[in-house]
Amino acid sequence: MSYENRYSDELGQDPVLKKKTARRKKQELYQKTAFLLIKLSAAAAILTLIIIIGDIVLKGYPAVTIEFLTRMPVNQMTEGGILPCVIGTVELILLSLLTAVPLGVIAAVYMTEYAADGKIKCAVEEAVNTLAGTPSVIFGLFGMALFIKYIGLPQSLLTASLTMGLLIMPVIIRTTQEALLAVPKEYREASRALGATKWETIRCVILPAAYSGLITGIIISVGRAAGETAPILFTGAVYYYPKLPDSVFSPFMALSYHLYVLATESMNIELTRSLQYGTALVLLAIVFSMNLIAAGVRRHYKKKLSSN
Amino acid sequence: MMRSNYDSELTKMREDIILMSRISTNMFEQCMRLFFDERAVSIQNLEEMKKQQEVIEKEIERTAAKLITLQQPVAKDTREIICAVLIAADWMKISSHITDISDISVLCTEKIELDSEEWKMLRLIKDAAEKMLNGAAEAYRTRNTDKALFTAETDDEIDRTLWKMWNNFPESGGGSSFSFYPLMIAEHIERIGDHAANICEEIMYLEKYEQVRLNN
Amino acid sequence: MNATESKNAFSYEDTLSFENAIGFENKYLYEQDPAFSPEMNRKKAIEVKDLNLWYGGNQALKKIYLDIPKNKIFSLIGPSGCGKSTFLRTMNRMNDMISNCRIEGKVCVDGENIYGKGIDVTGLRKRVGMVFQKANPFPMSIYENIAYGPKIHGVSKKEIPGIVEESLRCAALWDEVKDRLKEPALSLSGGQQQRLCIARTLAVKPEVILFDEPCSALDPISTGKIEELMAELKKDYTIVIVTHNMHQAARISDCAAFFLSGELIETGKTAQIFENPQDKRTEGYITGRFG
Repeated sequence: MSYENRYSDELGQDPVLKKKTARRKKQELYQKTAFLLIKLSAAAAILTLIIIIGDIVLKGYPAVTIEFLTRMPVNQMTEGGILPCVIGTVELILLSLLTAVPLGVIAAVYMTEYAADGKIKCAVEEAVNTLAGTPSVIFGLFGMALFIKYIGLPQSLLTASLTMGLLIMPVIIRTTQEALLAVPKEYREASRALGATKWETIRCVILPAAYSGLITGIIISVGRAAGETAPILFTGAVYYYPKLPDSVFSPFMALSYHLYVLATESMNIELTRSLQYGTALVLLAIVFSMNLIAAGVRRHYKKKLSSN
Repeated sequence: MMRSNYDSELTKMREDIILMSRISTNMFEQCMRLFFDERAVSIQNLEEMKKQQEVIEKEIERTAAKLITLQQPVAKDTREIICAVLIAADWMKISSHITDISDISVLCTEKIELDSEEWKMLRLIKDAAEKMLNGAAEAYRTRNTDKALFTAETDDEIDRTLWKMWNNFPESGGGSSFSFYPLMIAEHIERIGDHAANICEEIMYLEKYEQVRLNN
Repeated sequence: MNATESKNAFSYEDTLSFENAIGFENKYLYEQDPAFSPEMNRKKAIEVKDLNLWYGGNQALKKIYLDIPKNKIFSLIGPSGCGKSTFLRTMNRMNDMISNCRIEGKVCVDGENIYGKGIDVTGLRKRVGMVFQKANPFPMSIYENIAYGPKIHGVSKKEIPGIVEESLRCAALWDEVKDRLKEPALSLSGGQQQRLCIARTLAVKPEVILFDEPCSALDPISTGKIEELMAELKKDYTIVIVTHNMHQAARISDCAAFFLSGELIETGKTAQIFENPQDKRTEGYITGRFG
């Protein structure tokens, strides 16, 4: 009920209040417009996600069979399965995390708990932020220059994982830092007041409390590691390798690279279209399932740490 | 503001005490005039003044209880409130002695021989008592501990003069010229002096946190 | 030793006047209270001598001399920002965690200067525990919270359940939580959490417990329980409490010290401070007629 209706009996023709209601109407209009725009943006975002995923699921579903997942590709990629790609991508993700997470967490702990505020700390933080935004192809070139040309490693799973690790490390550092800063300083004080050293405090109180933020960082990184093609382009991914990677020093196939090649350079693009969608679906499925696992772990820790 | 309320209540209590002291000294003056002055003084007046004092005393007690409950006073404020209650009670006791003296005046139907020994000594006692009452009132008003101590010493004078009066008491019934009334009045005045000395003790406690015995 | 220091020097051979035994400008009045008999008075838990503290360029504590007797509740009162919390934190070196904090002077716990060279700070914090203003139990279960201290200090696994039960009993919390030791500590109420923090401090067996406004965030009933607890604890521990609530200080403490703008204005038995303060500023503060 508008202001005017409710009080019109008592107010009659009061000029002051009549002016107010006009202004109020204008403000209400602005508010309605703003909310509408916000809702439309949210709808657009969700719609985009639904369209992309829907498209991939619908077109890729027919291609994904048990055979598809467990057989090697044959006949110049036009038939067969993508088993080596699946294994390659999973191994890549795991090895990159193994590279990035310990280093990243320790770096974040150092920056938050030990480093004194000053120019050096500022510089390091800026460097991390910049790295986080650097295009991935530059990481690929860097990886090639450092690991392959300078150190002499072969093009392999190891090299690609190291490069990918460098890519995701800034993200891990940043999210871990945020998680550590979010732990209230009262815990640190209480622990120190009981006679614990700084490291004992970090190990037993702060890091456990920061697990959920840490895991969020890992979730974000998994997606990037699985999907980025440029870093692994020059450092270890190949289009075709006859067997599954038997050591870290052998080249490997990856889903992201496989998809790229199928879609652009294969002999017969149209024929492989369903394979492409299938590959994309499998890639999405791997990333989502890893995210689900991590989210489950995060929920477990959250429940353990917080009140019921 | 809480404290300004509190301070104004404390000030009001102090002023009430000062008012009570004025009423008592006034009553004493008028009461003595019944004997030492020819002009008639109404006894009804005295009764009314005493009733007025009672009302003020009740008010002081109520305020004291309220302040202790609501304001949780500490240090000097606590002493202030407690001493206010005690001093008010002492002034009331002084006033009831004064009304007792005024009752004696009703009984005293004989002619008062102001030149006789007894009445002369009573005059001395009366002057000392007046000094004591004024001294106690002023010591409270100005919070002067030296005045309080000095006033309390005057009580010794009264005690000595009373003792002399008892000594003068004739041995066997005495002649018709001896009057008992001064002695009776002097006894009351001696107690008034004791209460006034009590008030001085309380002023000493209030100001100096010392508990002294000024009465003997 | 210059004149001031010799005045402060306390030797256990002093038998007669205790005014000599106390530091510069302290006024303890020991009357007939047997709790303050000469034998008890000789035991000082903490002695502070000429303590000065700076935060950057700002001097927060000025020339503090204070002795804290054993097995008594000692309260520190004063307006906000007068340095009483800062002073409390110097007693277990919690100010080390603040980067621009500089300290001069001596703080002797059981005769040993804790700001001297080579002092084991973690060992000190085991002997001088602290309970904070807002209850800060760790985000772990109740059992793990209490077990944290002993584990850190190397107590064997077998002894820990016993220590946990003992600490919770001392903190008057055992009956309320004995069935739910594995539940998260944050599920307790505010008063229970604060008692949990006290139990956690007791688990490392300190000698002195410092309380920094422990009841300021609690309701009157929880406050009452904690005050009762402190009265029990003082039999075995020395307690120093900073409080904004003067009436709490008057209720529970045996001795009190009044701080103002970083200076120690007056100290003595609680009854004397609250009935007959010697310094005008103390009287102004406790009667509420402060600036």
